[in-house]
Amino acid sequence: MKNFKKITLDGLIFANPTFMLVLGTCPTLGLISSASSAMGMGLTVVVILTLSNMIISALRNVIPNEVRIPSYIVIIATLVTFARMFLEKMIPSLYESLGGFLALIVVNCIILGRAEAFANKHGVIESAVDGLANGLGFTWALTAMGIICEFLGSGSVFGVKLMNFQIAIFATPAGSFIVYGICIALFVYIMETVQRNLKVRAKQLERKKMLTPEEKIEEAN
Amino acid sequence: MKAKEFFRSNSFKCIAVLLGIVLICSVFLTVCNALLHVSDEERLQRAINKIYGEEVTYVIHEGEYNKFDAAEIEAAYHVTDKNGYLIKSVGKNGYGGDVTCWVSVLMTEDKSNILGIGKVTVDSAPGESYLSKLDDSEINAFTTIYADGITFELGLDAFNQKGDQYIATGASYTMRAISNAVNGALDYVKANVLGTLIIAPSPYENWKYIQYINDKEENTYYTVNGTDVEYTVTTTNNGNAGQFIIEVTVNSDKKITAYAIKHNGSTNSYEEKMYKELETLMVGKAESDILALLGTDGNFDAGSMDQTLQTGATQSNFLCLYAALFATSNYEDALAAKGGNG
Amino acid sequence: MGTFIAIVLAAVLTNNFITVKTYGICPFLGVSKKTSSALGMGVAVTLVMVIATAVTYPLYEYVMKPLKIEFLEIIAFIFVIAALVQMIEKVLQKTSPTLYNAMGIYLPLITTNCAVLGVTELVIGDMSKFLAGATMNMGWAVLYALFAGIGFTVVMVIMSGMREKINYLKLPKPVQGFPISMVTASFICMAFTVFSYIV
Repeated sequence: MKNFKKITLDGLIFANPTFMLVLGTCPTLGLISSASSAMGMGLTVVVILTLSNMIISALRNVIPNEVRIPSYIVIIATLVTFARMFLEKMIPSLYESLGGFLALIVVNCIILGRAEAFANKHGVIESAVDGLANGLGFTWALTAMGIICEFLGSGSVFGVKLMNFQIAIFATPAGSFIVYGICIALFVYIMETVQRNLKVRAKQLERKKMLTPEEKIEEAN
Repeated sequence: MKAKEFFRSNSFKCIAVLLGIVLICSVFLTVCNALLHVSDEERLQRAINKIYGEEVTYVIHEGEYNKFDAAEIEAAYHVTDKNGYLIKSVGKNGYGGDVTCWVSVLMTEDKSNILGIGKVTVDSAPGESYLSKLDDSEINAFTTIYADGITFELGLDAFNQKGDQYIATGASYTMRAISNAVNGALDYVKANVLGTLIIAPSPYENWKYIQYINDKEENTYYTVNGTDVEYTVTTTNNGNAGQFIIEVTVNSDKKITAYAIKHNGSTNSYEEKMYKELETLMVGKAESDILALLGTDGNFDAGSMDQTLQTGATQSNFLCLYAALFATSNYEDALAAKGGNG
Repeated sequence: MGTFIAIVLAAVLTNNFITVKTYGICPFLGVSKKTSSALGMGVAVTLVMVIATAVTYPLYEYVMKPLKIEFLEIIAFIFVIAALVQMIEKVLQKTSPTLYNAMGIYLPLITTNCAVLGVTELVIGDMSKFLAGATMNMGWAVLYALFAGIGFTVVMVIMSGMREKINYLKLPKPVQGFPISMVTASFICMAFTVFSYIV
């Protein structure tokens, strides 16, 4: 149970694929000018990543080591093709807004990366949780940046007009680069501060444990 | 025993597993494709819904998809719940090519007249890189023109009325093509729904080299004088070059004896760039000579036109050559039609 | 001639893969620390893009379309690219060790580069915007791939030049690495938006 908690937190925050590992940058920069397409991309990746992690984990004893990368690529490409067909039929608006980036999910480093780093060493359920966590980590990062970019670029969020202003640069890749860069810097800064505080607190706790009862009373006073 | 060893070896396992995965994936995708295939009708329905912004029902309208002067109709739909027609019309004479537009024409309640233009949506415009300079409100300026009660005349007139405004956008030729597409759509409705526009069949339908000839009888005509045929040929536009009106006389040897440009369609600065001796150059030429000038395939884009004619006003020169080609190659048809004594 | 110019301008400047389409960002950020490596990566990507397009375009047009198996396009293309990259690596290793030493380390990374799969997918799609009236054929497809690769290389080299200077700056720790690179890239993008006015 503790293991699952660690996997989830790693995927969502401590090893967030977008902010900490900076993977899958192409769709990120291409789609965060609109919050809804960024979120659509994120959720598509969640589904594909979870499924690919599960399939690869289930087949990890069948696939020989020498042909593992081609096999993974075929499995991922199949899932992406399926996602493309499904979206074109069922959600045409999302299909159009994702454009060329839908097919490019095949070469999204996150998916192949998780397959290599996690799924081929762990069980099906763990891999599914890992896929879900990493996918959602990717999704929340994209959605957050999508909201910032769309608000600055057109004054709206998820297509709903909030304020009547626009800074056109944020609707272009130039603005996406700036927002992404600043978000990484902020995230890293916050993580470092939090971890430093955690370390300080851990040290304090350790010291408290080491103190004798008399010293503890002294400290309390 | 070698075969047996191979089947037990690791490389065989690799190949088998990889092939197995590819096979299973392909079968899976084939099944998905059969289930999730988006048919052409569905695509069309989506495109039409997008234009109207909501789900609409439509039936294909089977009219005469005539070639109108300014535009070619590709498809027409009767949108029943909007009381109108949606017409896919290809407007000619853009800057780099034709512009395909979806034009929604609104009808009055009793369908006795056209109420106006609902919306114009550009479908594809290959070569019109200036299209990005036009926004939706400019493209849809037609809706107000018609609603104001100004008759939406064929050809360039409507374009010229608002011309200055569009020239400011830098996309005046693109706008001309869009305006042609709109006119074509209106003509389609007039001809096939209202019946107010009657299109006489062209007398030159079976003649040769008519693609650059205005084939209306009042524009292009001829008289037979003994064994000579005297043509007055009106050309179409060609890119930047406007209509030319040219008088050509062809004798019984099917050679040109007289050639005069009565109306020069070149834009001002290009008129001077045209080949000065063109009128004398044409005299004495037969069909084969003109084809030789154009190049074997008679194709303008291939740039095969004789070097002397590549003056910078190539599009104008090209029209003049085609008028001559039309006159020489159809000598016998002309004679036969007018009952001459040839 | 008009189509040629239109394709060159679109591929290199107005629709640059990095600054407008945001394809191939991983190597753009990862391998642009030094000008020499940026150039090597750029040339390697261009090479693979051209060869991949020359294989996938006819494969799609003349094999997959007649057989009505267009839906297998992603699998087929990624397989072709992976196989090509392996082959180029082996051929370079055998024939030109110097070139292999210069480019070899970048080649394995290229399989998962968006730009390569991106260009093969682009040329089979609707390209009428870039063709100035001409119809798509194999020649135009390969030409587009070549100049898209050149555009990619140009931006890579510009970026590496800027990063070489940035290395001398003293920056707060959270800003080092990716964040400052991305802001730098943003300025290159802004500079490239100027080109969208030339057509």
